[in-house]
Amino acid sequence: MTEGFLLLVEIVLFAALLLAVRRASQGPRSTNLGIFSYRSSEDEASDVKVAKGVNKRA
Amino acid sequence: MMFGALFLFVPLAFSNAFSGYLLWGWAGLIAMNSYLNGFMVSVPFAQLFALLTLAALLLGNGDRLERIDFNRTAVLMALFVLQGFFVALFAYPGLGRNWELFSNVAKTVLFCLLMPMLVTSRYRMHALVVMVVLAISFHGALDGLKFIASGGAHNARGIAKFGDNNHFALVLLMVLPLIYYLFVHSARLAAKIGFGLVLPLISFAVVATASRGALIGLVVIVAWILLKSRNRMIGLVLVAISAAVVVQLAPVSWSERMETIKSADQDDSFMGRVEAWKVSSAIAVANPVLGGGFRAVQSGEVWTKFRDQPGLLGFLDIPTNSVRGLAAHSIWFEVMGDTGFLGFLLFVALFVNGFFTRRDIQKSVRVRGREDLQWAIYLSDMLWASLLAYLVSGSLLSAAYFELPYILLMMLEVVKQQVISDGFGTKRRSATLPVPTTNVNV
Repeated sequence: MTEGFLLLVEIVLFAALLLAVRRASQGPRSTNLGIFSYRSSEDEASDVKVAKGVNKRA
Repeated sequence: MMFGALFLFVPLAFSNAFSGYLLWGWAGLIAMNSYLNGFMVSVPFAQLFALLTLAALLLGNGDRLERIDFNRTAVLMALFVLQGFFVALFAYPGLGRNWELFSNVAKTVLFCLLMPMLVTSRYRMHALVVMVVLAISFHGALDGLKFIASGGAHNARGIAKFGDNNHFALVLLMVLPLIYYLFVHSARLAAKIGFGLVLPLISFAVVATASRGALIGLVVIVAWILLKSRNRMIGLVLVAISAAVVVQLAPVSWSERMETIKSADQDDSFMGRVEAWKVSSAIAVANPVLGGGFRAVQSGEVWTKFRDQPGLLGFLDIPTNSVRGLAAHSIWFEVMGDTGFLGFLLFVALFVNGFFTRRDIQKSVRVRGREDLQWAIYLSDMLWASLLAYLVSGSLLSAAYFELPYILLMMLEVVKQQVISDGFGTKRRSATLPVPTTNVNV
């Protein structure tokens, strides 16, 4: 029962990934992978600046 | 269910080469046949999707089959498989899995050689990581849930593809850093929660295997992630909570087994491994260029021939008690006995190269001051954590031809290539920024 449910979840998630990849292949710079989207490079760059204290107000 | 899914997967694989590539990798790692019944058990999913991917590439569906990029990692892998062909050809007679194992290595290397051609952007690299995590964590999530439901009494054995409980634990360990990467870098809250839940489930599954080697590997991974983490204090607190939960949930038999790590020299299981290492090294001494053939040490005839020879471990005063062939129980001695010192050197070179590839990625991003590529540094750290777990836990297991470490090594190489060529970047490289000369490929 649990095994069957997990298998269903696995197949649904993997299908979602494949469909997202297919969609993203139309815009190579896209970060939109549906539920599996990743944080954009700009977000990460600003995180680093915050960590380094660049954005701190004097 | 899977039969129905094929109606979606097959057209997707054929219409888009990269989708086919993901399906190929997924089908190989998840070993779906272990969970199916009836005629579906005999469907060769990995081969089916491999053929569809190659057909899509030849027809130019999504991507074109271009010249294979012979970077450093690709050259080493190609040499390893070429040498493996001659190893299989000149192997001792009567080795049951000789050609089967060579064929597995060759298919893995083919998959890896196509990677630089297909993984050409960040979304593709991210999708590849998600594919690996989905495929492997499926096995672990199931056992993690059973571990909780049974109050820690469940014994995880894994599936036939991976081998015994120790091999299963190794595979699960290797995927932990990648899940952590996805947990940190996912944009959607649902995905973060999902990966955040899978992380402890896989850790429980590792504990449920009662593998001593895996416990050592787990400690190595946790130490590495903490070392590379920005929030070490939070990490330490989380690790302490997880360790307390494991100690509470794990049965007494688990604690007793882990205690035996301290007295390995009195353990029959461990001493049997040392016997196998001795014989493996003796095979390599007698056949330094081509070894004895894949899994030669497990052949009764080969074992009898070499059981009284000291090999490289002559300084150990250990009698060879076993009268039949044993598994090598170490990736190092397995490759040494199977493929000789030449194959062993190529195998070691692959991982040394992996270490330098990770260093090149980090150097390249830092020298260029590319803060938007921090994720590449993080991914290379997590890939190396997975490989470190493989090298540590694999030192006591026959797992040299498992596909995941080769895939991870090539992923490191692809990240490096893309970072250097700015394929992942969102900004154009400034002409004033210096380009490191250490990253030139062979």
